[in-house]
Amino acid sequence: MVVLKTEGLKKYYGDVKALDDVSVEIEEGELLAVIGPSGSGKTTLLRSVAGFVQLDGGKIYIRGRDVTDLPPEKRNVAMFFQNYALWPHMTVFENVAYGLKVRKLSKEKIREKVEWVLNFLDIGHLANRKPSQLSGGQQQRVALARAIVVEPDLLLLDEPLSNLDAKIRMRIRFELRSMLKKLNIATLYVTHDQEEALSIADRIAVMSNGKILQVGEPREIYRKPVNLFVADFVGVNCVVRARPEAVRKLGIAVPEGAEELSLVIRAEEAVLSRYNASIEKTPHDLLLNGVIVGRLYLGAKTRYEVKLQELDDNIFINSEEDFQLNEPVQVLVKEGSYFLYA
Amino acid sequence: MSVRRFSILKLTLKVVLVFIILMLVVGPFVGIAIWSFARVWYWPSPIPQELTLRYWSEVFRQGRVLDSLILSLKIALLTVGFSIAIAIPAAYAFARYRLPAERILLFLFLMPQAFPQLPVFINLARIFGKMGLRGNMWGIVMAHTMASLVFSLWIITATFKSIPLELEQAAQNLGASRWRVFWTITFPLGIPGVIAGAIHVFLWSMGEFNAAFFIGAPFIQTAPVLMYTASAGYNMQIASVIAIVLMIPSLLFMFVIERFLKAEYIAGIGG
Repeated sequence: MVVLKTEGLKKYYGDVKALDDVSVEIEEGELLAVIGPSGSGKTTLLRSVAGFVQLDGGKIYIRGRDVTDLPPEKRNVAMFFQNYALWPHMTVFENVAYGLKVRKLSKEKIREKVEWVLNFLDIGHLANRKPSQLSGGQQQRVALARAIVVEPDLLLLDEPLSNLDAKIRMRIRFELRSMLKKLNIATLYVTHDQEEALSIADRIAVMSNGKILQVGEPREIYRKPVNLFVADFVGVNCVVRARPEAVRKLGIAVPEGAEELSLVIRAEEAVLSRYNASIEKTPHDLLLNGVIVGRLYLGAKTRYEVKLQELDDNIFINSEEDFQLNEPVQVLVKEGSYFLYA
Repeated sequence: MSVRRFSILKLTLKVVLVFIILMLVVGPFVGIAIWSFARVWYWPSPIPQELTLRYWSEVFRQGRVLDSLILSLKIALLTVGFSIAIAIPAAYAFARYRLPAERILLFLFLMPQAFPQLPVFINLARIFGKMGLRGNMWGIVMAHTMASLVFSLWIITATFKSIPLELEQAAQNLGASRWRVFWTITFPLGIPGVIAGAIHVFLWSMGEFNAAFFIGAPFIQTAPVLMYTASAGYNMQIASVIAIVLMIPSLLFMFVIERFLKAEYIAGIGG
């Protein structure tokens, strides 16, 4: 069953199109991540679904019900705010119980549900603390508990991990995904972190300038980006601007009539080897010659700046091997790890 | 040696500074306190030549002082009530909505304070006279409410503005109506500002002279008016006693409210 359906949402701020004909769908239990750089309109989309944005056009349906003109309090979607928005004058218990009180549940029922959700999120022992006495990670859980305890039709997550430090963030990704799957709750997840989206989402929508450029499963987004923007935004890449003749010489089919091409190379998948090493390659793989012009020691790996001979541009590739400055090297980019756009 | 001399200089400066601050803060109060017990006090003697309790007993025997003090207290409390009750919804509107005539409205609230107080209140007294509000406690309460709205409105508006909109949206998102959001989120978080506004209005009303004089006189006298009359008759002692007595409710009010403020809210707001 379709939980959320938006049809042609439009929102303009003066000349800026924050939402430009945005249509998405979320199925029961599905986690859709919307990614894009800041200013792409992803947060505006989330806030329109919550009802905090006055739209200039389009329709929003939640479980088939037209909620476009309903105020936020009548939509039964629960939002997780990027800064948590916990109420400082209430305890954790009161924060989480708020939505249930509004729904006029009995005292016993409220206690039961709040205790369940706090234990589910492993923060049962914090029930009587005030938000100011909690760590960032604990506050994040309380905000999540407050949103899911009301059993909303749809969960809206606005950059839920962005305020956590990098190490915790990695660990929480797994927890968050398995938790959302356990609850089987339809979720709209907004983030600027493409890696986070790839690892956590069932499907991903890539946004730029108020438009949705591509919607698909993480693998599809990563392997078959529809345009230069998506290809460059997802993954760790180097974009090389090249003339068609130079690209043709590498043995890749070049689109007709293009004056300049953009070659997106997934730097995280490119392999660096010595110039005289023998390398097995298929006809569709890309083998480039270059020279090391810079190196940066990162611990387990070293980051090399490689000047490409054929393409007259520099790219950055990490490698575990040790290369010297000015050493000639070969760069192998497998089929599916590079994309060519006119 | 030079180090030591330097530190002595610093110490001397410190002592002088502390002394000056004490003079400024405590000095006037000490002067008033001594005056209230002085029977004879001629310059240049630092203390009175003769002391007496006569003026204290006189003030309390007359009952006049106590009456005017109670009147001032009543007026101040009523003013606080009205001023805050009007300021809260108005401040919320200023803080959260784009009002079409926002500037004009704010200017209207500023009006009573924008001009010299004396002509404003003399004119107000004439108008109130026609309305039968002169020589009447309610006339003073009305004047005080109007004039004090600036303080309460500004303080409470700033407080509401400082509450992140997201805290309200989070409540709305969970199904709370606007009304409920205000009473469960915005208002509780704004209480420190409301209290600060209340203290300010209370103290201002307790000490206000112009409106109380022109609207209340000669039928009713608030404490500051009585003090003025007493000191105008060169009775420094009576005026001093009243000044000291006048301080008591203000100090009490501040003490009580600050206690309440600290215990309940400051910790919570910090986060």
